[in-house]
This record gives sequence, structure tokens and C-alpha cells, in this order.
Amino acid sequence: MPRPKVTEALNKLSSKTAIKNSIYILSIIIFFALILLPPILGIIIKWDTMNQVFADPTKIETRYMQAAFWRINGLNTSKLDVEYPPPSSYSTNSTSSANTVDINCSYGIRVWKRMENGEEQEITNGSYVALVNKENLGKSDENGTWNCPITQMNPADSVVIRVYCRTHPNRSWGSVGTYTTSQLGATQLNNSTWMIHYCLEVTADEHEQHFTYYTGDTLSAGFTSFSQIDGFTWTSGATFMRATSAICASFLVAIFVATVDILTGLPMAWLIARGQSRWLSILDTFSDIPFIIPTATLGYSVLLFWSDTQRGVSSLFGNSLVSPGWILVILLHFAFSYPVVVRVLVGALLDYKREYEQASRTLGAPPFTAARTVTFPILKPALIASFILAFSRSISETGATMMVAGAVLNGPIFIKSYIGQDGPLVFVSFVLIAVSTLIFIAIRLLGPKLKLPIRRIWPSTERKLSSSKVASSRNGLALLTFLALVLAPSLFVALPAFEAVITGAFSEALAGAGIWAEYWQSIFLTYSLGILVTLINVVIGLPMAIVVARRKFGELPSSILDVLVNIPLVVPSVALGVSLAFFWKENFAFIPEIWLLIFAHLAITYPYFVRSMSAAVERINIELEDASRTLGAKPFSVFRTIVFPLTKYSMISGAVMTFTRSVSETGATMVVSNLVTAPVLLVNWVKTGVPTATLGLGCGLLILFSFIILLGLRLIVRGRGIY
Amino acid sequence: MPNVRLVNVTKKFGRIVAVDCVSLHIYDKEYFSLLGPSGCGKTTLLRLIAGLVQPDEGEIYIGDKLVNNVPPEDRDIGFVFQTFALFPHMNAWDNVIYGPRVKGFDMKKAATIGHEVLEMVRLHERLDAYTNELSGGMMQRIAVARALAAGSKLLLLDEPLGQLDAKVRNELRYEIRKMTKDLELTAIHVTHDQAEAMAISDRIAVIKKGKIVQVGNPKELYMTPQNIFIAHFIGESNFLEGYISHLNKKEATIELRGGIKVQARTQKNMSKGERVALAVRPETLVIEKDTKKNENSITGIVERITFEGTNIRYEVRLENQDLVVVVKPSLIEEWLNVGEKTTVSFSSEKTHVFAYPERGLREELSVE
Repeated sequence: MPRPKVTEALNKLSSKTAIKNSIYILSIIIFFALILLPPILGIIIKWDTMNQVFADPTKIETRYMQAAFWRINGLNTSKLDVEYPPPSSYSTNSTSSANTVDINCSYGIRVWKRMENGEEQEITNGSYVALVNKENLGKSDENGTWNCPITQMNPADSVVIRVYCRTHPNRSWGSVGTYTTSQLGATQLNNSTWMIHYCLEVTADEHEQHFTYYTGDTLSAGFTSFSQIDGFTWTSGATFMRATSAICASFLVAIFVATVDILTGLPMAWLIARGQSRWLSILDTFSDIPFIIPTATLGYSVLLFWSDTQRGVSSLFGNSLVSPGWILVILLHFAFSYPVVVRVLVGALLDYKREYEQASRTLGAPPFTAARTVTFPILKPALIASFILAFSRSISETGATMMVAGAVLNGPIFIKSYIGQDGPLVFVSFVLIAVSTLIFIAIRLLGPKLKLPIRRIWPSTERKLSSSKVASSRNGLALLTFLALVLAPSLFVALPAFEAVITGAFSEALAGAGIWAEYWQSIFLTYSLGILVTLINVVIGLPMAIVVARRKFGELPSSILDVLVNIPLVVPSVALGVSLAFFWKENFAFIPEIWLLIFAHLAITYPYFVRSMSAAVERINIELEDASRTLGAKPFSVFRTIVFPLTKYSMISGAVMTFTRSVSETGATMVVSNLVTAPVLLVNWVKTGVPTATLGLGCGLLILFSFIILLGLRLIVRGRGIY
Repeated sequence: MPNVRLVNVTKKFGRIVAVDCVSLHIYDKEYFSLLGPSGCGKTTLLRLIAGLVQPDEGEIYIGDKLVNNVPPEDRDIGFVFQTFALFPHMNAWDNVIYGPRVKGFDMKKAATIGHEVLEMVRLHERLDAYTNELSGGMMQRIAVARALAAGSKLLLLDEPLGQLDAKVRNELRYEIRKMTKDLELTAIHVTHDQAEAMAISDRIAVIKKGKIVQVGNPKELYMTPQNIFIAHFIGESNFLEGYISHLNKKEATIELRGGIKVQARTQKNMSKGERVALAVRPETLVIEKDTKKNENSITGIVERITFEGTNIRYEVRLENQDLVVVVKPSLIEEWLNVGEKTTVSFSSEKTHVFAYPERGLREELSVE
């Protein structure tokens, strides 16, 4: 059978060392240029803005009313920003009824503070303040003052100013413009006098005199966005303190959750790996479920399960059992990081040579002692790996955490609430990235030296702990933990989803009516993004995996690359998003937003494919490749006939992980672009109070699609475990 | 005292019967080998004794105590694994004193025991080395020392020499035997190497497909194999097919292929006309130049000669086209040449006659 021409050509190319090496080098260059350096450079170019974090907390500013639109705290409106605005104007029309009328227009403002959930509180108590009159036609500037009272603020609050105008004292006020600040990060608006500088123009279309106009004419009272407020004075919310406490919160939750994950995941992994019973394989599959559910969905599910007074556990007690806050954040992080830990530990336990443990038993150690002194120390690398994974998942998670956080402020939520203020963003992103990287490197370096405490033995206590009674209660506890804290909360969202199907919201959803149109768009965006990112990752990650696994450029460079490749894994994705956005938007503003999104997802998911692939390549005995070479195979044929078939499953599993991670990604997505992916949309829905049934259905559908895709892949690999 | 008794022990893994209704008694202070081809169930048998696997049926007694439900840590055994299973996260010394430590002895007592056992295995250097830095021989000594330090009088060894080089293996096998004898231990040694089993054991149980074929001391197994498999597996045998044409009390005339008639010792309850296989060991055959006609002599032509150092090995094509192997000491004999006409003869005393196996000779002798 003649070999296809393509294979022939590739074989020819692959036997040239120069070409092979340039592919490897290209993959390394891409890694640095696209994955590793942009976030670092992004922070460096914004380094100076970090001063803002440490700056004087009292700010006296001039705020300009701008024509540019933005969306703050759910409000789509014009900017009220510290930069000078481009011009724009508003006007109201009024038709007079009298014969001739004096021109007597008035302008004024009303001021609100707007909270994160979109709720507004008026500071001016319904009255129009900083009033000015204009009694002639044409352009003029008028100044009005208002004494702003001390107003307590939340950092996520923004200040909204609406400008009103009436064309005659007998007529009613009409709005000519709404302006908002970003989420200020303020603790209060200070008592100060605001000077509002109105740029005005009044025109009448016919018969105009200077001070009067005729019945039937249209009088336009204009207001332009050159207007400004002087003396806008506020106290910034001790940004540094808030930032550090947010960062600490992130790390504390991550360390706590990862530790609890190991403590509770280990008995579960033991049960799955060692248990004899058949239904354990079902359990094994079930423990994967929270793994593939996008975390935003999981967040909503957990929120409903613990806090919804109509449906969840809370409904049994009549009020919210766990309201949004610390405990719910921890429960949520536990639910989505636990499956990762169990998966890694089950794999490690299955690979583990049980002879070590048996040797220990024959030497007189009861099961508990054998596990403690022999099995766990030998499995230490897996324990460390699962700790790092759980830790990094917890520290990265944004979307779901926002749903359940309540008043809790952690790193990602801080970043989300300070968007628009470069200083705090750079500061928090930098600290999160730097500390995570340091922790990761420290664990990598010190992990092998870390000794588990195995010197001391407590024979009688450990013998008691080894008894079958203790073992079965431990198994029971592990199962209970899994079912009550992980599985049930993760799948709980199915309940409102079914409700929605019954109540008919389902047909609405299928028809794409109302908010569902946006939903389907976001689903399309999410999955096409996921597929694209996965494909790119496979292409750029494959040569890298081989470089790392086969030590193509020597021992040291390869192991350094190995560490570098893993860094995006432990860095909080939202921090990565912030620095990436800085880098690309500052330097390459012409790049369309969708590409920013792709770059961000690439940077976040890059390690998943390379890791699983390089581990698989490392497992292949190099002699197999050598054998194939001696039998006459060219390098490409070696890859096609030996490496590829042997690493197929790892390849698929790496691709699946990349894909699920991309589909779940919320934090960086929110920061980098205004494009709304499905998880971001769900977070928005929760924030804007979309009905439970609708949200449940939205989540349910997302889970369903993920399932179908995974099931399809499982069928392709014919029932082999793919993680 | 650690005598070990198995009564009708059966262990199945799924459909595979690894150990099939085995009964065995291993005496106190005996060096006992479980010998058989790989996959015969001998390791499973050893693991059953150690409690690392649980029997489906039958009883296991150690020192007259029923231990079926006793976990391995309470069976008071020492176990040396084929791969040694030295703990990779501990150095050699910590491996050795692991047993005393987990039994709750304090550091001082554990150290005393550790030094004692290291004395026995004659190993004192490189105790702070991690196990991946040790040579095979040293790993083996550490593994034995570790098992001994647990203080048991029953030592279970699973192919303890299997991972070593031939030279080291031969040295260590005598050392292990001597040590167990000095310490008055009961040792159960699993091996697939019949030479090793013969050299080291007081008694051997030959196992095939989960069943015990024969138990006896090395000499019994060699001299009086009760079974065609033993005759083949212990030492080496030529098998000549034929049938009994005439039957005496102890001797019979067997007609081989090609009508050659020979005299041979028969087993009991054999009858005239029965199809048999005649087993003759290569080293008992006499080979002479030219064709001579004696009792129990068959002419043939030398087909191949293999010089093995100590011995010289002839493959002779007999006149009836059967092939026999003859082994002679290479130094004291005059050598024959390929193609030379010879006479191969044997004494009827040194033959064994077995009923021809129902499933065929090849299948019966198969070690796989």
C-alpha cells in the first residue's frame, strides 16, 4: 500500500534536524511571547500606577461629564471621569403656548449613590440642586454650587449624577443626561462644595428674539458634555488595607480548602481505589461530575442548595441555613476542588506498588501505621500535586465565588470591583501572581525535602485506628462528605431546571425569547471559544510537551521550562486577565476583543494540555522509539506510529481538561473583554436577580451540553478512564 | 513453634484457580521450598501463609494456631519480597529497624536489634544510603535483615534471589540457608529455579497449576519422581514413547517405536499393553562408539554436540528416529564427532516408566 504523500513529505521534513529543532524552538518562543511574558510585561508597564494604592486617601477631583458610554453597577450610561471629555450635547424641546414668552430655562442636578446590585440611594433627597438660570438664547457657561453632605459609601458603589432642565418655571423638569463614576472604592463622599460648571445653549427655531420667543416655536434647551464638577471630594477606602485583606482572604481560603480537600479526599480516594465492591466504579464516575460542571453553574447550584429558602436544605429550616459569606465561599470552593484532589489521589493509589504496604504489614505494622509510615510518604508527590491543584483552583475562581460571596472580599472580587482603577488592579494582580508563583516554586523545591512525621509510632492508638470499625466509619464519613458537601450541592440546580421544563420556560428558552437570545449567543461564544482554544493549545503545546519530557535542550533548561509551563496553573486567572489586558490593550490596541479573550484563555489553559501530554511522553520507554527507528521509521513516522497511539488517551484527556477549563473560565474573561460568555452571563443573571427557574434552566442546559460533549469523548475512547 | 499447616486451601482470582485445594505441612526449623513454573500459584500460596491474600476455602495454621482471620501484622512472620520492597523514602538503616519501631520498641532497643541482624547478614557499610543507591546484593541483604529484625521465627521468601546476577545468586543462596539454620528459623522459599531449590532446601513441594505435584527432599524428587512432570522438571529426562509388551513383577519389557524392545522398572498398577513414556536421565545414559548389541542398547547417530564447559552434551538420533540427549563430563571422556555411529545404552534400574499422559506428552510437560 503506497503511503500517503503527506506522510511521505512530513517524514522527509522530520528527518532534517534543523527543521525539527526549529519547531521545538518555535514552540518555546510562542510560549514566552504568548503565554508567559504578556502578563509580566502587562504589570511592568502599569507599575507606576501602583502608587495610587498607597496615595493620600482624600481626593479632591474635577470630574468631567463625558459622552463616552460605560456600564457600571448595571447602569449603561455616560462617564463621569477625571479626564477631559469629547463634546456631545443633550437637549429638551418645548413648544410654547403663549404669544410671546420670556426665556427662563433652569438647570440643576440630582445625585445618587448606586450600589453593586443596581440599587440607588438619592443623596439630594428629591430636590434639584446647584441650580442655574438661563434667560437668553445662545451659548453660555453658568456655574452653580451644591454643598455635598458626608455620605457613607461602599467601595463598590458608584456616584450617579443626573442633569435636569426645565424650559420655564411652569413646566416640569426633564432629564438631559445621566453620568456615573466607576466603582469609586470610596468609604465616603466628603462634606465639600461642588461647583457645577454647565455649558449651555438655548435655541429657538424661528422668530427668535434675544430673550423671548413665539408660540408655536420650538425651544431647545441644550446641555453639552463639556460640563464639569469641581471640588468632587471623597475618601478613598484605604485601598491598601482592603487590597491586602482581600489577598489574605484568597490565600487563607485556598490553603484551608486545599488542606481539608486532602484530609477528606484521601479516605474517599482510598475507598475508590481499594474498595472491592462494584458500585465503587459508579462512585468513581460520580466523583467526576463536579469536575466538568462549569464553576459558575456550580456556584449557583451551591447557593441554591444552602441558601434558597424555597428549595434547598434551608427550606427545611424555613430560613437560609448558610447565607452568602465566608462559610458558603468555603463550601463552594470545597465542592469544586474536592473532585480534582480525589481524581489525582485515586490515580496515584492505583499506580502505587502495594508491595511496600504489604512489606510494612508483614513487619508488624497495622493498616493505619502502614499507610501513615509507608504509603503516604511514598505518595507524597501526588499529595503535593493535588494540594497545588486544589490550591490554585480555589485561588483562581471568580465567577462562582461572586455569586456566593455576600460581603466577603477576596482577591478576584476585589479586582472585579476596582475595574477602571489601574493602581489597585496592578497591585492586587501583582501580589497574587507573585505570591502564587513563589508558593508554587517553594513547594516544588521544598516538597521533596519535606518529611512526613513517621519517626514516632503509637502502637496501641494506631492499632485501634486500624480496626475495621474505624475503617468502616471512616468510609461512611468519606461517603457522607462527598454526597452531602459535594455531589448534592453540585447537582442541586437540576431541581429548578426541571421546574422550568414543567412551567414552560423551556419552550421560551428554545425559542430564544427575551433574555434567552443573549443566552444562546453566549453559549455559542463559550463553546466556539473553548474549541478554538483547545485546538491552538494542542498545536502549540505538543512540541513543548516533547521538549519538556524528552529533555530536548538539556536537563536544566527543560526542568526550568517544566516549572515555567506550570506557572499559569497556579496564578489566579483574574490577575492574569488584568495583566494581559494591560499588555494587549496598551500595546496592541488594534487587536479585536475576541482575540484578547482567546489569548487570555490560552494563557490560562496552556498548562493543562502540556502537563498531561509531557507526563504521557515521559512514560513511554525511549527504547520503543529507538526500536522503531532501527526498524527504519523516520522521526515523524515514529511519532505517528509509536508516540501518538501510546499517548492518545492522555492527549484526549489533556484536551478535555483544556476545554472544560476554558468553558468554566469567568474571572479573566470578565476583566479582559466585554464579550459575554455563558458563565459570565450566569453571574450577571444572579447579580441582576433573574428568576430562579430561568437561571436553573440556564445552568442545567450548560451542564447538559458539557455532559454531551464529555460523553461523546468517552464513546470515542471507548469507556477508558480519560482523566 | 512455627510449623505451618495448610488444609485444603483454595484461592481463586476470578475464574483462575491460583491455589487448588492444597494441603501441606511444613515442619519447624525446616528449609522448605515451593518450586514450580511461573504462574503456578506458588507465590499466591506464600501470600496466603503471610495473610496478604485471604483463602476462599481451607484453613491455615501457623504454630498450631488457626490464622485465617489474623491480619499479616499479627502473624509473626518475616517476608522477603521478590522486588525487595525496600521503602524508598527511608535509608537502609531505617528500613532495617522499621519492624521493631512499628512494634513500639524504643529507639535504643530497635537499634540493638538492628545491629544484631546486620551482623547476621554481614552488612555494616552504607547504612545511610537510600535504597536506590544500593546494589542488588546489598538490597537483598537489607531485605533479609529487615525481615529478620521483625523477630519472627518464620521467614517467607518470595523469589529472594530472582533479581540478582547468577554469581551473587549462587553465593547468597548458601548464606541464606546457613543463616536460617544458625538462627533455627523455619523458612519457606518460593522459586522457579529447580537448581536453587535443590541446593538450598530440606524439602521441596513441586507445584503445577495450583496443585502440589510431589513433596519430598531433593534426592527423592530426583531419584524417584512420582510423576512424569517431576521427572522432567527436576533435573532433565529423555522420554521415549512405547507400550508394555511384557510385564514382570518389577520389570517390564517395553516396545518402543520402531519395535525396539527394552527392559525397564515399572510402577505399580500398570498393565500389559498400556501406553507408556520411558524416562531416562541424560547423565545415566552410556554412549559408545560403533554399534554394539547389548541389553537396553539402541544404535544411533550423533546429530549435534554442545560443549557446555563442565559437561559435553550429545544429541543422538536413534535408529527409530527418536532423539535422546546424553550428557557426559567433558574432561574424562573421549569425545565423539557429529555423524558418528554410536550405541546408547542404559540400565533398567535407572529408568522410570510413566503412563502416557492423556493430554499428550508436550502438554503434560509444559511449564507454561
